[in-house]
Amino acid sequence: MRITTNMIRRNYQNNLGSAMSGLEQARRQVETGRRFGSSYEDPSAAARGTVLETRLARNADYTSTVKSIQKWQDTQEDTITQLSSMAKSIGEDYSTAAMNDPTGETGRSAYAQNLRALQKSMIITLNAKYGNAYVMAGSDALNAPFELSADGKVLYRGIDVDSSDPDDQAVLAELSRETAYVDLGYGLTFSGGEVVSSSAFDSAFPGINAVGYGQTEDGTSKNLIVLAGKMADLLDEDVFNTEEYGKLWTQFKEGSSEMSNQLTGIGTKSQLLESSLERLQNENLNIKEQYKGDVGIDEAEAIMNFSWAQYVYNASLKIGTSIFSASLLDFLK
Amino acid sequence: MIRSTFSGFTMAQLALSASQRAIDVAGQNLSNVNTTGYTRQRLDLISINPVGASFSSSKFDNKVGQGVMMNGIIQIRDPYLDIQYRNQLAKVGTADATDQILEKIGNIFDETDSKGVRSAFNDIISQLRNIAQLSEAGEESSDALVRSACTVFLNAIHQNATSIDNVIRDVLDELQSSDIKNVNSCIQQILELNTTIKNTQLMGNPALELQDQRNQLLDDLATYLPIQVTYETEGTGSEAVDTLKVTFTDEDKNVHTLISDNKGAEFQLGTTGDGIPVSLKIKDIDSADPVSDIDVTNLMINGVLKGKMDMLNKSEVFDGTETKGIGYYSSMFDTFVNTFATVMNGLNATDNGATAHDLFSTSDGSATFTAANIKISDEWMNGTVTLTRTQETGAGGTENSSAYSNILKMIDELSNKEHDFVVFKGTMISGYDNIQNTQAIERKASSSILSNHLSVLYQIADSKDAVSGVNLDEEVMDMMRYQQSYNAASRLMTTLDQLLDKLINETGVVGR
Repeated sequence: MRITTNMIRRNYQNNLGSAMSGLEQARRQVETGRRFGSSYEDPSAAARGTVLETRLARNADYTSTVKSIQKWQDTQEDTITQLSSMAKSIGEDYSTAAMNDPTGETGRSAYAQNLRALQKSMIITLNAKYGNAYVMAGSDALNAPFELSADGKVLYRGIDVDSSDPDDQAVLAELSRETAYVDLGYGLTFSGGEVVSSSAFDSAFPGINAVGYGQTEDGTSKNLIVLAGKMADLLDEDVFNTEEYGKLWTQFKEGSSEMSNQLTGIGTKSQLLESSLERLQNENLNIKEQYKGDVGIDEAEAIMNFSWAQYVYNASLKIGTSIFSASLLDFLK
Repeated sequence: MIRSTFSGFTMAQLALSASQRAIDVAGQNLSNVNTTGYTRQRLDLISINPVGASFSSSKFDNKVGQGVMMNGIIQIRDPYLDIQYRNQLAKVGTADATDQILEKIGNIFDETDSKGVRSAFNDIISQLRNIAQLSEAGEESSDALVRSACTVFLNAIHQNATSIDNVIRDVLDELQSSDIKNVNSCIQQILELNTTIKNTQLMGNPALELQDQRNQLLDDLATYLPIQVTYETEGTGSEAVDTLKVTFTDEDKNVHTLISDNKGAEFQLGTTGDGIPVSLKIKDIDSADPVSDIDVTNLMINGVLKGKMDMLNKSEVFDGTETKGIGYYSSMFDTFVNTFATVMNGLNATDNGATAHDLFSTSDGSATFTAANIKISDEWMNGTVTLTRTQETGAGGTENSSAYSNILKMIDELSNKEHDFVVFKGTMISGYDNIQNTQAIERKASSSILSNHLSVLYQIADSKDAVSGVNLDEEVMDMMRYQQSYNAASRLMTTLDQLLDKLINETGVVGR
């Protein structure tokens, strides 16, 4: 093949151009730490990258949700712990034996007053807030859930917790089952419009689950606050009805131990949150590692590539000077 | 045969002028080494042979030639390589046009290195998640936060929609005010050159430089559309002149004559109301009078015009064509936007969808959302409509101010549920990712096709150069060669001069 000057020049120019673009690409890789700047350079890695980016965004969402739910849950736990210690002290100090007090009526009335005060503080504790939201309110976190009416009734979201009306009982049962699911990455799924409970975390704690509601078969209230009120009423009476008081006290003890169970339940949920957080943090690391594998570049390799590209470019330039300096003209006398 | 006394001088003179002319040609070649399209020229020399019978012809009568004759200056060019080169140019033209437009689309949808629609979309989900917590109950601002995340999202969408429009307008503008004009002006210039070349050739000049110019223009024309070039010889003998015919064969195998001697065709680009689809028509020279326009929009096989028009006009599954043009990407994008807005509006409606509380509406009143017309509904903007947090009523008529199960459904729909995006089913964000991924795959294909076509083009250019290009060393060598032959011819002349000097001045001096 006959070689012409322009052919050499053009081919040289093309090769120099590609050496230069190789240098530019290597430079960009070192500077950005990414293997590519546009998705077309590596479509499959770019596609995996976008999926990972979405997962990372989701992971960040879950993590911040877990953290905020943890605080929420802490408030719930504090509330129930406080209630539980109040209930415990009532259970210990107000036993039937203690009430057969030799001080008689005066002593009992002092106890009654104490009980009423405890009753009120239980209501206040149950109406605890986190931010603007009532933590024990189920689905109505905007309004204080518990109220002690003037006639001594305990109302949960406007409904008498001691009501014997079956309609009210049904509503209370429904309220006690209220949920507030948050998606923490357990694979949120819906079934018939409802969240599948195992696929999300339930952050609601309807207060009546802590202090009880409804009545036993013999008509004794199951609600601790109501019970405390009734115990106070009995203590205030002139003749102390030991038998009736004993019944209330036994029920109170039962409710109190039920509350302890609830506390344990909350503890378990807190642990679940803790382990979720750990899992999310691990996942975050994994995603980042995977992302680096798909999109990122090994620094040492990138710098080596850059040096190599620079070497190639320099060599091309050097060859260029020798191509164009010499021609037959240089050898004429 | 008796030799004429001074015949040797003519031979020397012919040799001198041949060498001189050869050096001139070398000079011309050297001077034009960098001229685009220049074809190396060569002096065609032939040896003068004595012809005819001599009076006393005998086998002892040794005849010798009478010197050198310049038969003309010729170009060295391989027409087959020209055909190959032009065919390849058309292929490069298609690939280059496609690649450039895909690059522009990539600049819009490729968020590998930037934040745009994807991050805005993720932000909407994050903001929804914030609402979906009891601790956020009663935060009036949370609705506004979702709304502003949506505003950012819509801004990113509108920006992309505008960018798509701009790409279309740019390509359209290039086609209209540059490409079609170039094609027509190439044809016109070739027509003018045809006349000039013909006239020059009639006067006996081969018009080599003009032919170079014409070939260059033909190469230019070949990048726009595939052309076939044929030469026909008109007249005979010394009056023979070449006329040029350029044709273009469309996909239906119809042959359209673009140039025939001094008659030329004209291309016309037709646009519809808002620009696309475009149509391309030829005013063929063969057409009967009055000239009819032939529509060749979808009949181009290769070339820049095909590349650009296909990208402008076609949108694959959306119009049943086979090219993923700009329309494909904008339609995919519209589908994504429409799915998003429809899902959100659907979930926000209450009473099993009977009562609408639209979060998004269209700015043009159309029922379908597109990237260009989607907006946040006036009702959501002024607060008449808010996010429907729950579809359920509280148990026994109790308030459920902080219930948010509906928000959870929105999150689920936006992040986990699969939706139908015409060509595939996937999560909402994958509807957007798909645009980027498709673009990436198409562009990778187009750029590798381009580089393949280019490397073939360079190979053909090398072969062309091997035949027609100037090699400086070769020309310098020619210079030396003809300098030597010039010197030799001069020496021949002085030798003859000395011989005659002997004969005329020094012979027959006896008795003087």
